[in-house]
Amino acid sequence: MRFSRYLIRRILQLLPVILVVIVLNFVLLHLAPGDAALRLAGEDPNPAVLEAIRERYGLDLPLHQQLWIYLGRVARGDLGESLMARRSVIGIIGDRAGATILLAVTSLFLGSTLGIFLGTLLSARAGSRIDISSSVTAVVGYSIPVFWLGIMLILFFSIRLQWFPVSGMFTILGPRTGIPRLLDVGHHLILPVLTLMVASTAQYLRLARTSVLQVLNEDFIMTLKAVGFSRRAVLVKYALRNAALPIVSMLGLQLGIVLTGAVLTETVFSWPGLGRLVYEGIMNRDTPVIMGAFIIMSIAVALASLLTDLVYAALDPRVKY
Amino acid sequence: MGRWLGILFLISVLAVAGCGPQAAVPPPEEEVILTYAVQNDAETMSPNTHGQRGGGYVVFANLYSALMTLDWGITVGTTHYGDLAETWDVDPTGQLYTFNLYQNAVWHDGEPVTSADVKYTYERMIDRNYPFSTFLADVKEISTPDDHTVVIELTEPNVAFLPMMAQAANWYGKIMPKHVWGDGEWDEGPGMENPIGSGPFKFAEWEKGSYVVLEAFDDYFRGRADVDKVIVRTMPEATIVQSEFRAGNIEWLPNQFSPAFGEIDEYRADPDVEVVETGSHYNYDVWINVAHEPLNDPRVRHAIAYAINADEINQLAFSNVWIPCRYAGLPLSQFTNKNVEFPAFDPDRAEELFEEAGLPRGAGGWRFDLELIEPGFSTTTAMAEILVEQFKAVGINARWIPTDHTIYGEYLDQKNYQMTIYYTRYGPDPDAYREHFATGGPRVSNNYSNPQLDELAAAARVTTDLDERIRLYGEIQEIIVQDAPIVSIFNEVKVTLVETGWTGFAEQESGFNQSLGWSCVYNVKPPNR
Repeated sequence: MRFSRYLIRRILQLLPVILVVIVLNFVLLHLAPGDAALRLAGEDPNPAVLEAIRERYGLDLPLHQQLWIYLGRVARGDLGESLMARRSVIGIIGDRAGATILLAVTSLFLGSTLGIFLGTLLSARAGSRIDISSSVTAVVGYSIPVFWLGIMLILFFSIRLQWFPVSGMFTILGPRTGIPRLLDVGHHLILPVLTLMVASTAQYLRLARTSVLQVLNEDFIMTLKAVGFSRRAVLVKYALRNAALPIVSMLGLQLGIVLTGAVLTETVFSWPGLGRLVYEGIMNRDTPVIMGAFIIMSIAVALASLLTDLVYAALDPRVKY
Repeated sequence: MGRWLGILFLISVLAVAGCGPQAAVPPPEEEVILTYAVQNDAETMSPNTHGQRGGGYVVFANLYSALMTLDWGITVGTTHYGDLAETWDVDPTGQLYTFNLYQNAVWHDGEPVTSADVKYTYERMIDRNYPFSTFLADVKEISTPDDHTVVIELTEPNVAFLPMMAQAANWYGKIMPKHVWGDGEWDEGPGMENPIGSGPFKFAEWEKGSYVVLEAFDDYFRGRADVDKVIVRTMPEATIVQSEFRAGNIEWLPNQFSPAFGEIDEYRADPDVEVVETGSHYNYDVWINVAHEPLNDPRVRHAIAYAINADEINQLAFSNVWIPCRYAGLPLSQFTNKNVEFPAFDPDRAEELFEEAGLPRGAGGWRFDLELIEPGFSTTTAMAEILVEQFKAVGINARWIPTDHTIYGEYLDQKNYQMTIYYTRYGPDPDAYREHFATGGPRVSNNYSNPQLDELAAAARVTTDLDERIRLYGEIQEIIVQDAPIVSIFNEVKVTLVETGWTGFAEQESGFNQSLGWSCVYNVKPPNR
């Protein structure tokens, strides 16, 4: 009972956050230079053409009125219609969300698992050569621009070795269903995931190493070692478990970073996801699409942070609702 | 959650296991597939309601037909030719245009294309103020004496009517099927995603954000295309498109994706690649806002012209591929007055003129501050970086302000800049001079106005006498060079890469005057055809 009340309270707390996100994004987008009407009017527009477009798309209304209409729509679960595609924004986002979820979740899962695994191993060898060189590599991995890394991976693995497709999510006119389709998507997924997971692997490696190392220096670990627990049991069962809290909280925050990285990764790999949709929306000044994508992404990040808090409580009995 | 993670893991493992040289799916025997890229996805499959960002135009060019069209063959003389119109005639007054449509043209659903479709399309565009209506502004009445004849009457003679509508047909102005859309709006309904056109290719598939597949239309009125399938892939990043081209996955690399000019020699040495250089009816010029001080002084504008070293820019930015041009027009055009030129590079003369204009070097050696904006194309960015340095050398404290294309459009619309690098279009008809330089013209973004030029441009628009037009436009160019609201720097050269053996692309001579538009691939033939 206490849990469900906590959950409802937390979800209700999300509402003002989302409202602020909407208003802030709306105002920022409209303050930014670039006029969607000019973009829609094409080459050499007559003033009459421009005026007709502003009227047709409601761009002639004052900003506060546009915002009010938009908020009313969002309250009814309607994210509006794309200025360019003339389709519902929810439909457009629905077409693209699957690709981003696949990319983001895969890279987040693989990046965090690998990072935590390597970080834990290194903590047991703190100060060794392999620890120092791995830490330096991790810093480099974290600092490499996603955009550049993607292009380099393509040049090496796709052009030189021809192991992977250069770009896209599936082979055009290729398999449409079943295992062959899964394999095809998986084959296309590898380089974008690798690109996106390098930074998060590096980050988790550093975090896990530091957190576990801190726990390893605690007295109870010394006691466990003294009474004869195996090195592996000490490391995994006790040290890692006790070091898990900062790692888990990072997982919630990481989703936002991965989604940001996905914009660049999807652009490099022509991956038809939300990130590319935002990029195209910005280039087009398609405000409803940009707003819709931002709202969905904000909700995803907010939910991830809620989920983190719930996992927190499960991991640490001291945390009470 | 665990099950999903398991599925993801399975995909990863299977995909890794499947690695190896990428096995392309073999196409059915003898099927000719042409693949190329666009930077952004088509927005809808309905072509006329608003301007797009390239991706849509490329698809529409193949799905739909226009009444008249043109392609890059314009650079050697043809300003317009028929698409749905088999023949056309202009009466001596220059106000009555009669178009005879191909009798065998049919829509992709088998219905015949008739004059009623043309009338329906143009009247709807005018009624709704759709973008093409700009080019139909002089239309008084459209009549259809029979199923295959369209007569358009203009309110006043306009020699530029056909060339301008032919050019605009590359963006919009596609003829729509009346029996499909009827009274329905063109930006809603099933036609938004399942289009019926009358072009050489019909719609097959659209995977949003990824690609569009078109198939050759068997009953196309000019005969079936040689290419069986066209795949238009959405790929925003030029470097990756170049990689796909190198990997042999796409056959045609249009100008917007072409590699840096410095790399072109490398491609020239590759026997599998044909480097195509196509002249253009665009010049790249410096536009000076004459409403700003001290740029309102013609001496200052001339001094700026003297400060520009086009050869240096060509060498540093374009590997000497572009053509420096000091005419107020195109090097190849019969309308260009080659007796007048903008000043050649002479920095000493520039400094003298600044002194005469009362702009001595002041603190820091600067005469005045100047902001240079540009639309963010790789070409204009490269030019801007060098121009700023050349201006600094004569004492102008110049600052480069990059923008993106949409923001740039706003600067132009509001005439809110000091100086810009602009792509001045001198064709397909020289009426473009009126668009760019006559008072209040749709492309006059620099507040320039000269009543004498206005009169000449108005007279040149209504006369059908070619020699008289050449004379009038010659005088216009004298005024432009004298007033210097712009300074010509280059005639653009479009660099396109084509996989060796493929012919008939709009940029290749084998495509001139028969490509049916800049982006139509009807005329394209695979190797050995």
